[in-house]
Amino acid sequence: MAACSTILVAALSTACATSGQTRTEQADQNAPMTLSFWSTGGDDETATFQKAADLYHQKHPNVTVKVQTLSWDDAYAKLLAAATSRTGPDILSGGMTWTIQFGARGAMVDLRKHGIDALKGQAQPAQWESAVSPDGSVYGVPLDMSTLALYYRTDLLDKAGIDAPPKTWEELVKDIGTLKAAGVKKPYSQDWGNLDWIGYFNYLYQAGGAFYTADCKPSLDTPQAEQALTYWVDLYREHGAPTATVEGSDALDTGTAMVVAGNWIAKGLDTNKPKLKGKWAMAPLPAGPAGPTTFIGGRAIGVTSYSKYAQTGADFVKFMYTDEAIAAVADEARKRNISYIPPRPDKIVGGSTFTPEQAQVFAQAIGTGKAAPGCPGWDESASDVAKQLQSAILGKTDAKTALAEAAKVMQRNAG
Amino acid sequence: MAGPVPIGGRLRRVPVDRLRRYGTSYAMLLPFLALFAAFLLWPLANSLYLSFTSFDGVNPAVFTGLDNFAELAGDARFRHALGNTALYVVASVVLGTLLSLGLALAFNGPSWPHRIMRTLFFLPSVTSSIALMLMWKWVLFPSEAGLANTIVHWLGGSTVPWLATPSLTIPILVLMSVWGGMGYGMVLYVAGLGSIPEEYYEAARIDGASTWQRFRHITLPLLRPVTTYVVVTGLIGAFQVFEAVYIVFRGTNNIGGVLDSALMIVPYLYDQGFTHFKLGYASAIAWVLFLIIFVLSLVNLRVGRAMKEL
Amino acid sequence: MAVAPMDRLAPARRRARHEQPRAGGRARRNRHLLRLPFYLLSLTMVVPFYWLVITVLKPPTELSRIPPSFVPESPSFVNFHDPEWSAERVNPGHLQGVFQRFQVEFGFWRFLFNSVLVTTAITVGALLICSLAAYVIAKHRIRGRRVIFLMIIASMMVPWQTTLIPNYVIMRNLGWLDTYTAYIVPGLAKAFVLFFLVQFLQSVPNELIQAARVDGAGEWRIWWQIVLPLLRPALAAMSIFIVLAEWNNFLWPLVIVQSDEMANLPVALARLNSYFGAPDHQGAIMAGGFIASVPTIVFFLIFQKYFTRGIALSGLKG
Repeated sequence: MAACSTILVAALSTACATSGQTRTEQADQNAPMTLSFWSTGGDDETATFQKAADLYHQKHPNVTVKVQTLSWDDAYAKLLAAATSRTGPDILSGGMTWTIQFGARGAMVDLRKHGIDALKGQAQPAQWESAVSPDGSVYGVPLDMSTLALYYRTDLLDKAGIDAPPKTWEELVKDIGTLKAAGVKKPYSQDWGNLDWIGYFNYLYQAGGAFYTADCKPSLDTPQAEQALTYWVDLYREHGAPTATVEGSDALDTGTAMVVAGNWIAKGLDTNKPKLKGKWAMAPLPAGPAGPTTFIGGRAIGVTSYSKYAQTGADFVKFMYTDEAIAAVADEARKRNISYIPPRPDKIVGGSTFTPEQAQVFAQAIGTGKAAPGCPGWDESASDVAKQLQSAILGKTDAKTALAEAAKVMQRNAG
Repeated sequence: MAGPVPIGGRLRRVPVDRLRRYGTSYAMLLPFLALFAAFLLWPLANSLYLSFTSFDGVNPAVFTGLDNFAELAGDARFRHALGNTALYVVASVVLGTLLSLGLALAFNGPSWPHRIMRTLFFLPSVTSSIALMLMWKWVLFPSEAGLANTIVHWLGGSTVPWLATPSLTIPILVLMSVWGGMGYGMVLYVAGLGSIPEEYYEAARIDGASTWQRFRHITLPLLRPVTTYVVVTGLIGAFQVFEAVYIVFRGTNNIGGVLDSALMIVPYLYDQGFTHFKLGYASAIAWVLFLIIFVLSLVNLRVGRAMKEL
Repeated sequence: MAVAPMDRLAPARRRARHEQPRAGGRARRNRHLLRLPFYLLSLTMVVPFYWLVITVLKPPTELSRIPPSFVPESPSFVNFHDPEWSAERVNPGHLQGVFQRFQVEFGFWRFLFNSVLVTTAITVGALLICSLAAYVIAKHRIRGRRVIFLMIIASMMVPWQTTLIPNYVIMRNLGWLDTYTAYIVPGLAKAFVLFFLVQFLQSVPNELIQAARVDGAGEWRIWWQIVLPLLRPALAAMSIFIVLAEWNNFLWPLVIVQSDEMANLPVALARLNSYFGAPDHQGAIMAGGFIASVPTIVFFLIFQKYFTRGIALSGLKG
């Protein structure tokens, strides 16, 4: 745009294109350089990734990677703003499908150019797919994994005469009834994904449904989807699951018998809720008619297109998959007593921060797990889909109508 | 009026040294005017322009005419946000004004109890607003660890999911706003009450007017300017509500909370502008907000009064 | 309408003096009876603040107790400073030690500093710039004066959020994102302040200014030595408004701040909010809120008189 060429006009004209449309000039890869890495999560997680960055610095003394925290609350807005303004980090991490969004705006490097496909075989296939753009570009790859489990209070289950956690949908409902009859006031609650699409995700895939077909056509208007939603809604309306989210470890601590929650709860439960020590255990989610499919979350990591060090950035991303980087991150995470599941399924048991028994449960969930749909229009639709699910849960509409409405939104956003 | 320079008409005949002083005048105005133009007038014009484009922050803005406004008219979420805002604004302003007046009538004396009460009710106005929002969120915690549910349990009720119950959302937002704002209105009313000459009341008492009659025929009419001010500033402030929604009700991937029950105009503007980067569309929302507040402000008599003086 | 001198705005005292002799017997009882609901209403003020303060004082283990304690059983300051905390080994299940939590240089002090710096800079800057312009508009008969003033009054009807997006883009294009400049500069030209100061100055007689001119003082000196002192009550009133508004400013910083270091207190608090969820986290969150509130509350308690007068001044005469 000619009108934007002079500096003053460019500064004040709010409608001009951002300057970084052209390819950013690449710096000399051997000169000393400092890369910034914005990591979505907590300060503790930042510190664990910093350990990997320090290790990388040992191997490549000219490269310093500085990791900085973005809190989940405002990370998406911050990263999107950075992506559109071409200012910000060289490397970023965030929700699994975020890099697709930023990539679509031209802000990410297609890592295939830097030989990222070499990692593909090491990653969990469903999680990898979820970070791949519809056109096949790879703007981000999994950085870590997260999943869900059923946490339960062994003492309360014993009291109700239940000797094993529920393995199927039917058993779950039956056990809730048994617990209630035994005087347990809060038999069941959901932490991660409560009233949200992530919560529904598990039931949907366990019933054999999916948000999209393999070729990205919205597929919520199926009998499986309806069966899943009906079951989920009943958990709230018939079986008393609370609509307000109570954090998982707190729910267990305050007498909830069974809680569906994220893997990170397992870490620190014993130290933060000492009263619970020896009174809790965990199991994979109860299986539906089509199996026990569980949601796999986690973060994607990518390199920005306006970085002067794209080559090095991509190399650092690949480095995060090496045994030594995983070990460095896991060591620090263990020290800090926080959760970390590496992005390589073969490393879940040995390379995560969990006890082998706990890791087994997660490995099982991840083995058959599915990740967020990377289909076009999903991110725009997610909140509307969640809203439709909520109106079914809160009794404003029936499951069928809610799903039809949700499918309509997904159809529209799919373009 | 004794300004340094004669009034406009005789301008051409002013001596050179007066012209120099004229230059000083403009130099003194310059910092304000420059900033005012750069960060208010120019952005305002730009925002209007952007509202007719599909600007996404990356690619050059493409003029799309009235498309954004047409889309807004058909946008169910935006209509929902407007409806929520209207309900919230009316309820919080009416309740807030009545309570402000009541408090002012109750506690306008110089005695210590009155002063303490005034200080107490004014306290939220000087407390960090985000801190207050976080406090409310904790008070309304969805288990018996929270204050509100503890009280509910004392009264024999069962745990209420305050922030996940759509029908409670607007009442809670109104409560937070009235709670936080009535002390401010009270201070204005106390000042208003103090400016009513005592003679009026004396005269009315001699005529045998009852307390209610005196309130109805002296206090209320003479407080009208204060009431106008309290109502108009209250309306304008309420239309711009953001923090309460962003801090207390926002869900993981939806700014409006459960079923969008807390979605309001400014949060929706932020959502479209900064989490979707639909800057053109968000600018259209901004202009709808502007028009609403502009109309409300015209009601405000201060403008007319100020212009008369100049 | 002229702006009343400050001493006329001590209404409560004056009125009550008249009230004393006539409020006798039943009338007084009735009046007290009518007040009763408002005394009860004050409980809704006391209770939440009390809840906030006891939350700050409770250690995490006590916070997750059900039912909650209403007198902290083991009051401590771990929510501010946790002696067991170390940067190497954090216990993430609890959120405590708000001064240590943030891994930016100087931790929470940095946000406090940012807030103080920005609030001070805007208050001082805005009062200087606006009083300069107000002096010209009120006391100089220059061309375009009416048009300028009309424009400024009209702009008071613009909700600032209307300019949020263009201003954000301008900050971005100027490379000002994540700087103090972006915090301060767009906030300096405040139409309301200018309007108020002009109103106030119009009621101030011209003799002093004239006399100074006769003595040969320049306009800048007149502004600095005569106008500013004359404006003192108005400046005091306005500084209260500006301080409160800037201290609580949230949406603009939320948009322009990118790095942890540049957050002001409201933005930092909103970040703490992302830890919300478990009761044992509330202590540190409330501790953050407490720190953010103490400066303005203390400011208020010290200058209480000016607060109520300032608000009254703006409301009655604005």
